[in-house]
Amino acid sequence: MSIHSLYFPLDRFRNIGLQHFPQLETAQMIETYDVAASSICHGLKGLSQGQGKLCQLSVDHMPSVAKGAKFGILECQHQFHDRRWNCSTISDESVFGPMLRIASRETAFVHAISAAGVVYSISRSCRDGQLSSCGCSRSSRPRDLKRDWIWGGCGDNLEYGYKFTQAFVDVKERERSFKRGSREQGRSLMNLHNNEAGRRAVIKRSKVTCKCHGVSGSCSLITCWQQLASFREIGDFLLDKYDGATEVRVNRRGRLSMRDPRFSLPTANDLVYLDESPNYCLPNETLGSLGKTSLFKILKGHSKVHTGEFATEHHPVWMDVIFFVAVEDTTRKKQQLENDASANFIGVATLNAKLVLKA
Amino acid sequence: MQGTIIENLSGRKLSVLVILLVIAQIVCFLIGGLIAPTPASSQNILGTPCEDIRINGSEPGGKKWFYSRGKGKCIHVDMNRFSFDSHHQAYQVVYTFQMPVPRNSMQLDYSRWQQNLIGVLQVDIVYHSQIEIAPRTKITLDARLAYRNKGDPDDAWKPYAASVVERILDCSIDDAMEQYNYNCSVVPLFELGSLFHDYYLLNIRLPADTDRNINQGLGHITDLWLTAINQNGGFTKVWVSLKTIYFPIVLCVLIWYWRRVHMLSRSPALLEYLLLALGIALSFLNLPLEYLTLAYDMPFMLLLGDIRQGVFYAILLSFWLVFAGEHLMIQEGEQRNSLKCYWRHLSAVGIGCLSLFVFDMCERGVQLRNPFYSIWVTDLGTKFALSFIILAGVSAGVYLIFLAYMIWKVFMNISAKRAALPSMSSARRLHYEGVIYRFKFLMIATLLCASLTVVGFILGQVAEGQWKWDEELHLEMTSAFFTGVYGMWNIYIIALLCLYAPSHKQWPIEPSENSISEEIEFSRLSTDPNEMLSLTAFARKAAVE
Repeated sequence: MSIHSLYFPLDRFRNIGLQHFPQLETAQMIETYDVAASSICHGLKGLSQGQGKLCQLSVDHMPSVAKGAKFGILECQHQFHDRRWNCSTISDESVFGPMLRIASRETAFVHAISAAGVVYSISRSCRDGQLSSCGCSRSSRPRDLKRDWIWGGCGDNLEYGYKFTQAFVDVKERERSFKRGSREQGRSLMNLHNNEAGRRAVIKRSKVTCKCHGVSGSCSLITCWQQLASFREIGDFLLDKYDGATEVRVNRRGRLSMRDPRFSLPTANDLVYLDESPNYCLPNETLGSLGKTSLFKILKGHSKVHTGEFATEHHPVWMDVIFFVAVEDTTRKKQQLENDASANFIGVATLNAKLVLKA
Repeated sequence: MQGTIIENLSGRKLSVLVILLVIAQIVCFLIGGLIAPTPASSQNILGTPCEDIRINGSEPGGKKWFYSRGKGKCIHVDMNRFSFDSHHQAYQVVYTFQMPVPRNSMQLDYSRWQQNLIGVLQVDIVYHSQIEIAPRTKITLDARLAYRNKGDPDDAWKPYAASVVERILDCSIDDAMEQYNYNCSVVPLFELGSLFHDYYLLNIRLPADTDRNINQGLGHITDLWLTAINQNGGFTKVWVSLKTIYFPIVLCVLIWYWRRVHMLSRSPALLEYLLLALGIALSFLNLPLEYLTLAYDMPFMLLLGDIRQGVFYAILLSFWLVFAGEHLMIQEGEQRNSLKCYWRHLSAVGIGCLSLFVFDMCERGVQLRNPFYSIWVTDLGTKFALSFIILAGVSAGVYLIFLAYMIWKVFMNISAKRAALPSMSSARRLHYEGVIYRFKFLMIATLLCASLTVVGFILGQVAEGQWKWDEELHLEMTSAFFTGVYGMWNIYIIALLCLYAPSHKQWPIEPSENSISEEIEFSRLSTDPNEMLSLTAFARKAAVE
């Protein structure tokens, strides 16, 4: 198993979705750049330099961004609740712990679902009318908004959500310049690609609805608009993309290329990753994964199974029983949940342990 | 000989005129495509659930309005908590929609240039395997509409309309998964024929009553969305400008035309009367009444617009029938030249237009009284509306058959007469050939206009069907279609009025008939020498030859 413990600046804006920042509650009232905005944005831990600037420019968007990040995290946890890596969060700024340092499928998914969450949340808030500073999408800063609006109406809020998210989430990757073809650049490109895939997922899953209103209600005149899907649909869509993610590498020209040319080329809607996922069964302190030995350490109190046997021979069984275990062992899981984030591994481990004992 | 201008116009002059008209047509198309925005735009508004303040469940007065922005805004309800705790207390929630939604931190307001407002409701129902909902579910909405103007205090909402309406929710779900939303059809909610005020507010309650089975079996409603569609101010401006330009032009041409017809010694022919009627109908359509909506509240504009278009198309269709009929070149004596002999054909037009008018009155006419009304919600109303539309469709079919038959007959006659052409003197032959050519030319122009309208319409539909959110279209196809078609029919009728006006070249000769040898035959054959268009005269004469 290879772990790239190189330092990658983590995209930590998700932090504002996880933690409670009381200042966000007042943020929506603040409309322009002022001292209050500045203090709110400084208080939000996890924003990059560029994001901080954007935060000050549109501080009233921040509660929606936070909500969006939260949508993303919750959906990630729902989608992965029966997998080895269960999108567990830890209570520091990095949200997902050091896990996201690996350019794996999981990281790709987290980036995509977070971006999707922000698009979704911003679009919703704009349509709500509570977020009054949503722009008219045709041009970012219209000269005379009222005139433009009367003349040709405003664009769709979904488009605005997309554009804002693009600016806010991607600015992180664009802040620093990397050596062409370097690993860091590859990582940055991967994040950009996956952010885009996430944003597109929202649009891809939204439905176009139309209304005819021509002469006598005929369809000589027809108006269409985008209708948001439920976020669960977007999550499921992205999970499909996670399962079909493409492994890529960065080439010398500083572009992403396919690692295995036999597969079809990933589109802007597909997820890409650079590294294979680590084996989450094995402990890894740099990643914060407890792995099996650590599980075993916990288990030791409950049962007496030999470490070595468990880690090697019964690996295939592991995959199959995961789901049943999670259901079966809920009581113990709950106890563990209180003191450990990766609680459902423990449930799995116990049944495996039982199987082993029976065998 | 006295004829229409088209017969006496030289080929060069005709081609210059045609080129000018084609240029005017292209300009009309480009105005729509490049200057005008899309005809309508929409705002998608997410309903804000507000807490209804009631004492012991009694109704608050009609003056109590719930709004989500501004001073005195309502208390928001967290629907996630609410739906689990007290699902049955549906009356406690008021969904509020404040139109228009602010943008760029700016409270927008509707302009009177935006003409009309159509409200469409979408209901997001989340799927739960325990409470599946029927494909067609009746939903009862207690909807109230209020307005406010600029300068009014934030809470000074004045009631505009209120109604308890029933709608059918047509919901389906492709993959039935927990937390997925049903695919529910949109619910047309209201139509305002005039957008006179600055702000509008919609309050919707979903009254629930287990005894009377009101709003039962709706499942878990998560969100209500309102899409407010209004005409674009820019489109109205371009449209009204076109009308302002065309109205005087058509009126002048019409006056000129009618003066010419009146200067004749004979009474005007049927075709001339019909052309006059067509010109008047077009002027009625061109009349820029929209200027009045800027100053007065005119909710009947939608209906009036429908009627104006209906009258114009009815007369245009009748004109085509009579035009083909008058060129049938069959001698029928006195019966020709009156509308009576076309009664069968015209009744198809009449029935079609009348049934559409009745349908329109039932829908948009009633909406003048109650903007929430729709004929489509009740089964009886749907049948009623459908029967009228089908009747109109059948009439259109019958009309097309009549028209196609008549045009076919005209062409058959022309080719039959053509066979007789070689036996004529060369001067007359050239003249007749020219007449046939120009007659065909106009027929082709008509067909071209009609088919262009149809093709444009279909193209517009296809373009809209492949609606993409991120594509920056530089040419507004829908607007271009509208201005193009509008300009086309104007130009078509201007051309008809010009080309079919009595010719002025041989004017002085006309009273002294029989002076030219060729004329003798004409005066001998036709009972009244000046009565007919020479085109028809030619036909009758040729029939004898």
